[in-house]
Amino acid sequence: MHPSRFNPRPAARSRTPAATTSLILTATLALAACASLPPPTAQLAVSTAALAHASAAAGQTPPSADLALARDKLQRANQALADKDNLAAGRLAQQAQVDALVAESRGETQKARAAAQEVQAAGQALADELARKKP
Amino acid sequence: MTSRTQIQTGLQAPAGRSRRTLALATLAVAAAAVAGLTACSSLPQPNVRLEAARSQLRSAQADPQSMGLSGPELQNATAAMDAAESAQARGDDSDAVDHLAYLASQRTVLLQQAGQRRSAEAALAQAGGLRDQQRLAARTQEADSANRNAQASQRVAQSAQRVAEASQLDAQAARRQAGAAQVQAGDAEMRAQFLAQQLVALDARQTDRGMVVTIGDMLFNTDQAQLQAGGQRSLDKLASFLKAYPQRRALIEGFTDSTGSEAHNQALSARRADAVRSALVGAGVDAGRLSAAGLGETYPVAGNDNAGGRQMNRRVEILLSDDSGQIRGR
Repeated sequence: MHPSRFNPRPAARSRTPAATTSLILTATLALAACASLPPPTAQLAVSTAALAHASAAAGQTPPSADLALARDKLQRANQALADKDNLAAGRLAQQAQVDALVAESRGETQKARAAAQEVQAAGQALADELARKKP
Repeated sequence: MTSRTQIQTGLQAPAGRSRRTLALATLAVAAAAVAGLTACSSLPQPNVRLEAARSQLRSAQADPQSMGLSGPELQNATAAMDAAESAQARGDDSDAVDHLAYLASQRTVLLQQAGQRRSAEAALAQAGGLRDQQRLAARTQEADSANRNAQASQRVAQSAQRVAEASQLDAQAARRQAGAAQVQAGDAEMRAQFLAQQLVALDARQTDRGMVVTIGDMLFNTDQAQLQAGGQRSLDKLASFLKAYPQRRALIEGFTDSTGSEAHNQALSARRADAVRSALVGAGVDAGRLSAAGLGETYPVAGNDNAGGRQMNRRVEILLSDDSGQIRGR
C-alpha cells in the first residue's frame, strides 16, 4: 500500500502531485473512519477524577505548572467533545490524566523530601547534643 | 496538533532543491487543507518526541533509584513506551505517535518521581532508626559513667553489657522492639514515627478514605484468584501491622478491568478479595476485623482502552481504618 515505507529516503518519493491527491483522498476517507470513534466519556470521567484528586492533594498551595496544564487540557478535551471531535477529546483527556498524576506525584515527592530532611536535621541535632554530653 | 515532522524530514535531503521546494509547497498546502483533521495513513518518519521518550525511559531504567520499585510505575512506563513504539512501527501518523510518546514520557516522569519518593521515605525511616540507636547509645554512655564512679558496681557493669549486646542485634529488630516499647510507654512522637515506618514498609498510600494498600494484578494468575508468592509477602507485612494495632480494621475490595461480562468480573473480584482475606486470617489476624467485597468493573483507576490501564484496574485494595476502627464508605 505504501512502498515508500521501505525506502531509506521516503521523503524523496512522495513529492509528486499524484501522491498529494492520494494523500488528501486517504485523509478524507480516514477522517470518515476516525469520526466514527465513540465519545470518550469514560476517559473524561477518569481524567476529571484524577484532576480533582491532584487538586485536593495540592490543597492551598498555588497550582503547579503541571496542574495548570492538566486543567487546560481537560477543558480543551470537553470543548473537543462538544465539537464532536472524539479523537482529539480522547487524546487531550488522556494527556490531562497523566499530567494530573505527574502534578500530584511531584507534590508528594516534595513533601517526602521535606519530611526526610526535617527528621535528618533533628537527628543531627540530637547527635550534637549527645556528643556534648560525652565526658 | 499539525504534522510538522514530515516537512522537517524532507528538508534533510541534499539533491534536487527547486523541484523539491515546489513539491514541498504542494505538500504544505495539502497539509494545511486537511489541517485539524487527523489521518490514519502511514508515512513513517523518524519521530523526535518518540526518540526523546525512548532515551528518557532508558536513563530511568539505568537509575537504580527507579528500579526495584514494588508499585506499577515501571510497568505503566514500559507499557506506554511499547504502545508508542508499536504505533511508529505500524506507520501511524505522527500526531498519534506524538501523543503516545507524550504519555510514555509522562509515565517515565512518574517512575522517576516514585523512585525519589521511595528514597526519601527510606531516608526518613533510616533517620528515625538512627535516633533510636543514638538514644540507646546515650543510655549506654550513662551506664558506663555510673560504673566508673562506683568501684564495686558489678551489677551496673553487667546491665551496661546487656544493653551494648542488645544494640548489636539486627537493626530492624531493635527498631521494632524500641518502637513497640515506646508505643506501650505512650511516647506520642515515637508512636507516630513507628507508624510512619510501618506504613512506608507496607507501601500504603493516603486517600481521602484513609490509608490504602494495593495488591497489584501481577500477584494473581490471569483470571484466577490464587495469591502468588509476592502477594503473600506483602500480606505478611500487612498482617504484622494489623496485629500491632489491634484496634484497626480493614476493608478488602477486589476490582477487575472491563474485559468480559459484568457478572464474571463481579465474581472474580469477590474471589480475589476473599483470597486476600483468607491469607490475612491465616497469618493470624482476627477474622472479625476484616471484611471483603468484590466491586467488579466499577471504580476503575485508569482507562480500560489500553493494556496498561486495564492492568492498573485489576487490583485488590485494602483500606485501613483509623485508630478507632472506623472505615468510611465510598
